[in-house]
Amino acid sequence: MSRSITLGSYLPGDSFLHRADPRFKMLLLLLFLAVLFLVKTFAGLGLLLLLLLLLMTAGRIPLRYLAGGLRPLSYIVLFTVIVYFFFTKGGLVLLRLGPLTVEQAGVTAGLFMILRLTGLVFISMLLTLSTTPLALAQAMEYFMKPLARIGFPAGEVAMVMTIALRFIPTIAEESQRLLRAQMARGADFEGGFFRRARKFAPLMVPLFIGAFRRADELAVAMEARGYRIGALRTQMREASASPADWAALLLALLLLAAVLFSGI
Amino acid sequence: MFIRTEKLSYTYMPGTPFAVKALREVDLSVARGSFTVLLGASGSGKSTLLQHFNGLLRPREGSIHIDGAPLTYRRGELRELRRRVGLVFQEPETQFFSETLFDEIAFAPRNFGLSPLQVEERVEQALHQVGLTDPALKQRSPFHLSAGQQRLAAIAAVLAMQPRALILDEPGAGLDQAGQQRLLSLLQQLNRVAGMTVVVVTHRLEQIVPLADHFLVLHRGRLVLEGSAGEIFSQQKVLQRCGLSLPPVMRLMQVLADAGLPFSPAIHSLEEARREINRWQKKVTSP
Amino acid sequence: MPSVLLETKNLSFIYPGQPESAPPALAEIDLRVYSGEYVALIGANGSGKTTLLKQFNALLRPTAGEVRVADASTADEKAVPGIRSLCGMIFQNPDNQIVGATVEEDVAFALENRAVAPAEIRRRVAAALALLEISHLAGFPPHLLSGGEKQKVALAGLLAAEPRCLLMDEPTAMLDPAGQAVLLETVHRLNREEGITVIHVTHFPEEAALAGRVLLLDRGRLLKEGPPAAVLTDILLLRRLGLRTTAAGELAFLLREDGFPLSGGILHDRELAEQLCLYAQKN
Repeated sequence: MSRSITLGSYLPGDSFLHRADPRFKMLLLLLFLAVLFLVKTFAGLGLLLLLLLLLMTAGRIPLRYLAGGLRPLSYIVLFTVIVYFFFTKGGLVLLRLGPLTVEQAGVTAGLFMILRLTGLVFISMLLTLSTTPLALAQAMEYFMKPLARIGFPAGEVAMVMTIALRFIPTIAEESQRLLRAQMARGADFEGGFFRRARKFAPLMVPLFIGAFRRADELAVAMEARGYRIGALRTQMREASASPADWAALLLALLLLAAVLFSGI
Repeated sequence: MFIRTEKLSYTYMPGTPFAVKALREVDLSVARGSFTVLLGASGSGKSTLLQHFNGLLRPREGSIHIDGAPLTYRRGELRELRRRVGLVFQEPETQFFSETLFDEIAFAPRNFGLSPLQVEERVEQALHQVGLTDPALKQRSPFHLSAGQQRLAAIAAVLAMQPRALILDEPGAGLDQAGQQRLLSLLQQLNRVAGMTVVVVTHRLEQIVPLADHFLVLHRGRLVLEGSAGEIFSQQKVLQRCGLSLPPVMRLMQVLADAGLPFSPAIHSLEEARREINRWQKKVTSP
Repeated sequence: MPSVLLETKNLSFIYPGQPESAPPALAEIDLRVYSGEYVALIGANGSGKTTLLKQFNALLRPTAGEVRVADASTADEKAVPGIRSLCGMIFQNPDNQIVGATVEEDVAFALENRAVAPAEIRRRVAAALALLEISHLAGFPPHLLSGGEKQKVALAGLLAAEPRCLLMDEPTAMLDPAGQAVLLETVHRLNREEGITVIHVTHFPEEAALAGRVLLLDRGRLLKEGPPAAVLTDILLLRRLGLRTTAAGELAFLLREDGFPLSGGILHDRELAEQLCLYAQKN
């Protein structure tokens, strides 16, 4: 079976980025995003991107993986550029297209936004490339824990996320297999696959039946292994923070403060 | 030759850390009208190879000839190829999606643009071929058939394209004895009576060995053995290394041979074993 | 005398929503399984093998009669968690029983459900992985494993919970020969060395022939039980039910039909070889 779409975006490795506590990585991501959107000058933005580059090198993550993450966003980037180029006014007029003009302030703002979006994509990808989906789910469960006190089923939600992560590759493989099987029966999915809804039935019906059967069997297996909703559970691996995690958090806080007060 | 591959290689996700070489320079041929069994442990590349036979996968290197012509992967050609080489996936009944058995079998003929009359004819023929002849079945839901009937119906759904070759991936998996028996006699009939080229991928060899005339053994993406039952199953060490085992009758004959009894370990059907032992008995008891 | 681990008394079971006219899935089954036994459960599709197996894990409860596991009734709601930790169950499709996103996560699942302390979970998980020789797979996501490896992971998940009984529902059906052999060897070793009781549903006579006792089900009824040499050699009965026996058993039957003087109870290749050699010496 094909493995092309089954691996998610995690890139196995053993760098300090991979080893860091996922909860801290999530917090740091949020802080970095805050800084990224507060910074006002090209110099400040440049510094942030340089920092990203350093993190990437230290985490031994090849640039092409990050670049690959930009591709699906290219339309958003293009759209942003057009909006900024044509609708932000000020400074020299660089280009005139009938009633529309591109002015210097627009180009500057557009470029700034592109760099910002690039930073946003890169930092998010650094997180997902260096952290297993399971660790991310567990980190989220940790942050949801306070909600359990007001009756939010944090444990069950985390279990659902774990199972979803576990079965995404399986279901993806299955849909690939079904696609091929129906193609072997002469179905033509090439070209206008999304345009003709009736072509969905040969894929979606068996996919749903399969998923429900799977869910059924999985539920029985979970019950057989003693899972009960609402029961107290423990976890084999409880995430633990190292001094390096705390140091990184502190540095990030300092960086945020510096940006806020220096105005770069 | 109906199928011929030359230095066929295939790699999943090339250029990434997850790259897996599934096939390595496979040279093989399947004769027209033959009954071929493709053997290999899981991960040997069997399923990958099968999907090359009807153009679902395209070789990264090497080439495939079907029915005398090399595959060029043009769209029209691919459709014609898939009609001629019917591929039955593992547990094919899990692909069912129609409300009636008729519609399920009619899916392929309709995909090839046949007229309603022709479609009906094809459905009739395909159901007749697999022995689901009760006319009441056609309007039943395919999901309400028995497990054995579902498997036969799934094969009929492919036969409705009137392919020249039928390729099946573990066709007997999950069926009970009675179901297996019906399936095997169907395959034998398609091969011997209708003259269809049949390729079966399996590692459950209990009953299929006597039907087949040609065997291929894959191991880690390479073709390691090719030949008749006798030629293949005499290579016990190789088979073992490939994670395969002898079919039960051959294992039994091997034990008898090891005990010093004069029987060939290549005997692979119970009837043949019975004849040989009876002949031996007469020789032993005759003064 | 070993103690009784599992017991059914006049067990009948009808699936909810089953039409009145249909025969019950299980009918009046009286059965005892002793501690340390290896029992094979055979029968055609729909004979009730899986339904019976699920009774021992309280996944299904009797419609009439009783099922007792280590002296607790499966009808007693309070006893169910204990019963499930005593009797682990392994299913046919290895893909649909693995819950964890990594191997060790999955092996830990049953222990986490019982709120065992994290350090103790890690110890037992490591021990179970080592016992099945799959320690190197600990961090793998399940979809990258072969079928045989997945079944071993499922088995490790049961063993980590230290059960006294393994319930197996056609565990080799989706494995290749190497995977089948390794799984069977492992389970027989656990039975022999750790004294774990095994109930093994199978439609492969070669597997049933290795059990200590064979139970033959037909349309929900326990038709015959006894050592493999008694049940699996009743070829006419097996054929009537659409079942088969081992190659040696089938061949011995055919030869006897031809008038060849073989004594009864032949199932294994070696047994047939011995008798043929004996015959050659005598003549």
